[in-house]
Amino acid sequence: MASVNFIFTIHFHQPHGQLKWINEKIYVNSYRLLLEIFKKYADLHFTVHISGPLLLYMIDNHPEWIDEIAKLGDYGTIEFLAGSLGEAILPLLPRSDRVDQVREYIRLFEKYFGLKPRGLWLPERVWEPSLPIPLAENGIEYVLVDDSTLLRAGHPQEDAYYAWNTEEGGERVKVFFIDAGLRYVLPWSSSEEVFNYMMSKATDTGDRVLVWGSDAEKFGEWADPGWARWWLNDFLSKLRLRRNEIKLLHPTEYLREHGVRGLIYLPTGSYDKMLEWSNGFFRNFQLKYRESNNMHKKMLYVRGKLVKAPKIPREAWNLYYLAQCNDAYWHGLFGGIYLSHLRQAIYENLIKAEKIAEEEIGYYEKHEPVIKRVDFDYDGRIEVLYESRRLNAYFKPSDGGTMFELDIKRDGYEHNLQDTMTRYPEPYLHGSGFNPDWYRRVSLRVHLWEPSTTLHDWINNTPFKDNSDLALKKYSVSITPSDELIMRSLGGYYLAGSLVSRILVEKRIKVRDNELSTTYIVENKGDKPVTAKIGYEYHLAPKIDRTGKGEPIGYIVNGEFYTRDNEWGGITRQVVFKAPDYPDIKLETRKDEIYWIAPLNMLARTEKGFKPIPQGIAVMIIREKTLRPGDRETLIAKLELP
Amino acid sequence: MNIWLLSFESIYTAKVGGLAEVPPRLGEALKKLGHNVYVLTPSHGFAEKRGRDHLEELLSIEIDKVRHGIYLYDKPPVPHIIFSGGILDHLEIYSPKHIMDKIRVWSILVRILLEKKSETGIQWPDIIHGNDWHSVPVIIAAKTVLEKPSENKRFIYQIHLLSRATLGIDQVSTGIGLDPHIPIRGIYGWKTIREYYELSNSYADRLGALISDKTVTVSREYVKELVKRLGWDLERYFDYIPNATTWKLPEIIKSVTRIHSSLKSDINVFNPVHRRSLRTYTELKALGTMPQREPVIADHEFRVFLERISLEPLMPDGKTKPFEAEGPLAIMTGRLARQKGIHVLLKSIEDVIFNIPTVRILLLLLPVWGERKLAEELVEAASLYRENLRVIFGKAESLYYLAHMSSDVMVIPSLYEPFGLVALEGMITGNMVVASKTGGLAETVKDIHLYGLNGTGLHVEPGDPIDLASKLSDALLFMETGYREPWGKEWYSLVEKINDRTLRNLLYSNPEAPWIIRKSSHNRALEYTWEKSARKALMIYTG
Repeated sequence: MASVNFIFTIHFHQPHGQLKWINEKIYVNSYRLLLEIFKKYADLHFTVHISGPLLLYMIDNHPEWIDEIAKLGDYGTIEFLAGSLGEAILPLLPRSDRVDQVREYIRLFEKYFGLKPRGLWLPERVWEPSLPIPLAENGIEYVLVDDSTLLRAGHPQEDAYYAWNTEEGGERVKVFFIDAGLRYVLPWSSSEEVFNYMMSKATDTGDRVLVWGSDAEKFGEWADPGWARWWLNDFLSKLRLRRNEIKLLHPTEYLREHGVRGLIYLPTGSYDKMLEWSNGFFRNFQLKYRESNNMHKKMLYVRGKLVKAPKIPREAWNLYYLAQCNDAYWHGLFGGIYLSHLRQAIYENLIKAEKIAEEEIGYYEKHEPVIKRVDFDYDGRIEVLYESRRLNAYFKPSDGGTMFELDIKRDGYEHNLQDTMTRYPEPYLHGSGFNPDWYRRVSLRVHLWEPSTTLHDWINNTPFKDNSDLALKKYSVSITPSDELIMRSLGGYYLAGSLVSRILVEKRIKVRDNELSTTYIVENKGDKPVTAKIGYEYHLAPKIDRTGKGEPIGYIVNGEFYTRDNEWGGITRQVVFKAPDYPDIKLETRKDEIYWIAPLNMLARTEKGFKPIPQGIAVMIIREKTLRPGDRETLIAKLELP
Repeated sequence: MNIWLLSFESIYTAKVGGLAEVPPRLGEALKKLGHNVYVLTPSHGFAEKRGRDHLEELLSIEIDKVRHGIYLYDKPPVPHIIFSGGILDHLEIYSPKHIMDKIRVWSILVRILLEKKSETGIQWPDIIHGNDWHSVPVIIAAKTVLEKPSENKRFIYQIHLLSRATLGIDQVSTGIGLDPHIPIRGIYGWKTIREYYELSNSYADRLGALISDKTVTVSREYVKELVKRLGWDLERYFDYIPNATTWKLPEIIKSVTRIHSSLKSDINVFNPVHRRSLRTYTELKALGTMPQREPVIADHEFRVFLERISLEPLMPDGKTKPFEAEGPLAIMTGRLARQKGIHVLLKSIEDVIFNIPTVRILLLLLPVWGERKLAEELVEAASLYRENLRVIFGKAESLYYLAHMSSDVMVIPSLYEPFGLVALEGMITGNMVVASKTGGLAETVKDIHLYGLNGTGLHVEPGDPIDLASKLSDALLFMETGYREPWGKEWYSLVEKINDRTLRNLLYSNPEAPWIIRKSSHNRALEYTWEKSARKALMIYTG
């Protein structure tokens, strides 16, 4: 009689920094439901992975759930998979972090579950050939990888129905393959159709294994919980009856009985959709999204400080590991890097870890501030980092002399105020009228807008409105003995592609404990007059209250409060950014100026149409001027920080 | 001995680059050793400008229906024979448009001068010493007259800077009135001009070396370049005659105090108080008060170009605004050419500023053909880094010596440099030198890592802006400690910023180290005299 083995792996994960109300909703809709199902079918064998960030959340918020699910492990219903503490994409990390991420997960898991998992769930199933080394070092025996990775290695589909050995430098790990076909029918088709699919792979020898591995949220969160409960009951009760044909078992059971088929080597890979979104290679996300690269390189930079402090408390490292949580580093169809609260949590952790390390190594003992030129983002160009006990301000001279990170380091208010997100071209937005940003949405950029330009042209990227090359030009950077940064660039004002006049822009940046003041000088160095709306641009990310209580984010202009989804254009000299449970942040000029304020929103495609996702608040200070040859415009803008 | 030195330029007539300095200086030294020496050079407008003053017409010849004159100019310490008329009086010395024509006419005139010995009274030379590729057709022309069984003439070809210039067969034969089948003597014995030309693969420098008894350059290091570039068959014919400087500190001080009357005449550049006040004066005053006639930019087109591209602090007339505050001073001098590594210095400048926000860098550059883009980059850089950088194009007599006497470090970032005379100028005036480890600089500048307090500077990897930034910053910080109270807070703060442990240790063991290095530099430069060079030349001349 033909039969097939079946490994049913449910992956529980919510990212570090998830909004509390979302976690609670999913807990009720899905996680609690699944626990009930496991208990009801406790005679069956499930495989479960709970990610590090979710495990920490549940320990704090739903310890009873942890107790019960651990008990199911004890009773032999569930085989647990290990993971990484931060649900981090391991190959993106420095080598020793790969080992430590898994080690710290196991340490935490053992504390609450009393056992050490033998297998491991790869975050986003991102596989790279180097992984056996950190896995073996942690005693991990097997992992689940997508069958698309096997096919990329040139193997036939049939090979995906067995377990295999692979190795790197003599360190071995066993590999199961998650079956894409099964993922597309379970739970979206009837149980009969799922069984038919499974049986189509069955053999008389009964040594094949079909692995299903996917998100727990498919049961109760993505679709109606009532339907999920019904579907699972239907599927699992029938599975009980067909146990001779379809053997639901744990990975270790399968390995005990059938062992591995042989040796294989695998290229880099992930699941099919991920390969599509990332153009075939996960690391491409760091190239497409500069903000992803920014977080990653900030992580590496902070690590550089942590390793210099050998006696640093574990708390600092754990903050750091959680900041490696993958969700904010990429984007497929929904959320990911466009979820500001996830990025915010990454920076918050990194800033906290950085502060502990700086304290430990006496970073400012010799001189404060520390101002350095480094290739922070590894692009071969130099960035300037201004660091003090109170804040970090990072500048990118090669990208229009902009500020791309502004870390508030005050205790309890750790936050990267410059964690705004550029809106990139996304395939699913074709036809939506959305114009992707042509420059990174950060601060201190200077534009010379064509005089008819409006607030809408600016925020919606109407083409050919900025008539100068200064927004993107490389700036020189120097420093004065009083630690004032000076960035300058000589660019041009163009009409119909022809140079009208040379324009020199100077930015003098003075950073104090709670203030970043920039003096802008725009000077016509040519011999023809130039009429333009000179725009001084800021994008700021007020802090989101992830616990969900408190007031909405917004801003006050001329005494009136506007929520962040409002546009405002008019004359003022100050904008106050309001965020719940966070001190006010002020952007001000010495005298009244024209201000344009707009929500920096990305669009998400939902069932109900396109929905805005806030990425920060954009401000453009405008001066409409005719600069005659030799004329210079000076504007001083000050950011008042907590 | 009668010695003729062929040179396309001379400090006494027309000068753009370093070549103008060497043959007249060597000639003067040879003359002092009792030899009869002439420098033969095209006029480049000099004879026309000079009129009859100290010019004695030796011959008047018509070429291409244009009247040309050969003059004896006896005012310089070594007499010059100047070739004038027609294209030879075009002002731009190395204009690509005219250079080949100038060489052609110069070659013809030298041959005529030799042929008409009886009319001029100028004796035939025992030694013809050509300098750089422009002199190769002239050497060939001279060989056709001088190489006779009865005559034992020697031909020396000196390469000051290797060139990629090629010559056509006509440019070394029919074009200068010679049959290509005329036999001449070279390292492969008697062969026709055409045969030697073919052996040269048309490269002027190789041809010059093939037809000369000896090929010399200016440093031991640069001989290696000659072998690599010109051919291994020439290896045993290569040698070198080092350059030297004529700079004498007392004369320089005298010249500076004559121009700048507010400075005391008893200035001692090795006295910290004097030197620092000189630095302040240069940076804050002298830079901004150049006399009306300065800077002198010979090339009219460059003047017009400069007017168009100027940006503050550089003015349209080439003058500059002074620095706004005093700080450690590094200077660079030389031709405005990529070979000098100016672009490398520009790439390193931000790093240096971040290490020393008060740094002041002053570039005194002589414009040459074909480097307009580099000039634009420099003008822009001086504007973008206006707190820290100044550039002056052209000759600025009021500043040149003064800058050397005021500065702390001379930076020479050349990609390659056969000799690098400027290093001697920097050293004799008491500067620490940060120089590329190439050519003569590898020998003249003694790296402090190897020589300790007997060293004169630091070597850097040519073309490496990171290495340059690091060494230049360290050198400036090192020298700056010399102006601070040893073991004081400011002194410590400077020392701790120095990246290089050797330099830090030198200061810890002897805080006077910067002033000892200044002296070592001065003494090192004194080792290079034209008399020594002349004695070496004589050894080579006599085989």
